[in-house]
Amino acid sequence: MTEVTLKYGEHTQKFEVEHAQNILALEERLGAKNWTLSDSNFELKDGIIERKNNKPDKAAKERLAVEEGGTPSE
Amino acid sequence: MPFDAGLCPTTSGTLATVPAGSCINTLDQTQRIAFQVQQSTPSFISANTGTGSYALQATWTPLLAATNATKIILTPIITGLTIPPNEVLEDTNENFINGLPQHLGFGNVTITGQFLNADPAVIEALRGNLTSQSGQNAGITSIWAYLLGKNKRVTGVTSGSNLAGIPMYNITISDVGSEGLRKQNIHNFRAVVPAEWSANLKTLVASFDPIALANA
Repeated sequence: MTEVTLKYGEHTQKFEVEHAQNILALEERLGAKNWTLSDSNFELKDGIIERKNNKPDKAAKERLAVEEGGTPSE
Repeated sequence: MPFDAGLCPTTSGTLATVPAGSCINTLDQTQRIAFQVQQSTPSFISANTGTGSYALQATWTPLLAATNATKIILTPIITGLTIPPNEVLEDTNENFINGLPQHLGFGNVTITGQFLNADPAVIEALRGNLTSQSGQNAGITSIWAYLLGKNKRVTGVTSGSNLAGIPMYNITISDVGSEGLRKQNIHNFRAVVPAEWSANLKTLVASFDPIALANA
């Protein structure tokens, strides 16, 4: 079971992902802003909580190097 | 302790102290009902602030959005909700001393109300959730209720520092009724609460309007 952290004021609480999504969706329907996602490993995209890709984007670094006339690193 | 004609009285000769009473208590108009499976520890604290406070919308949203036994479901707006005082039960027999009846306690109370023009799917979902869990076996229910009323009222039952729900039995919602031209669809709501149901009743005022909450 995957859990994510939501925050309300100074209070933080872990919820199962589906529960957390439901809470945030309900908050939006009610026009409320009590609970927000407060988890560095997850992000909210179009109402869906997804795991963040925290790995460094090596390809982007190489693209930048080519654009600047350098040699892509191995 | 509730009166029981079969037990010795709890006080004899001395009357127990009656509290001064800090505040009047008025249910006023109940406009929606929130149902939940009974919890060993209530989901709300009676305090006006703090984590778990009944008064905060932030306490309600996780319960409405829950996918486990803590989930709360809401009725549509209910009209004409009536809670009559219960009747005194007496054994009357002219052979009793001076013909005076024997007091036996109080009867159960039947709560009634109506849903007007409700979405059939909502009614069906409420029936599916509530009727079997509150009426499959006589005298047993796993459901309790919070009454949501006028001017942000939330009514439940005091349980220590918590606010528990009111146990309700035989919760039913009728099939739709209509009297035809320009008449509203009506579903009758009915539930039974036992004698002494209001012994620890507590009506509190939230900091938001619970009537505006939504099912999730």
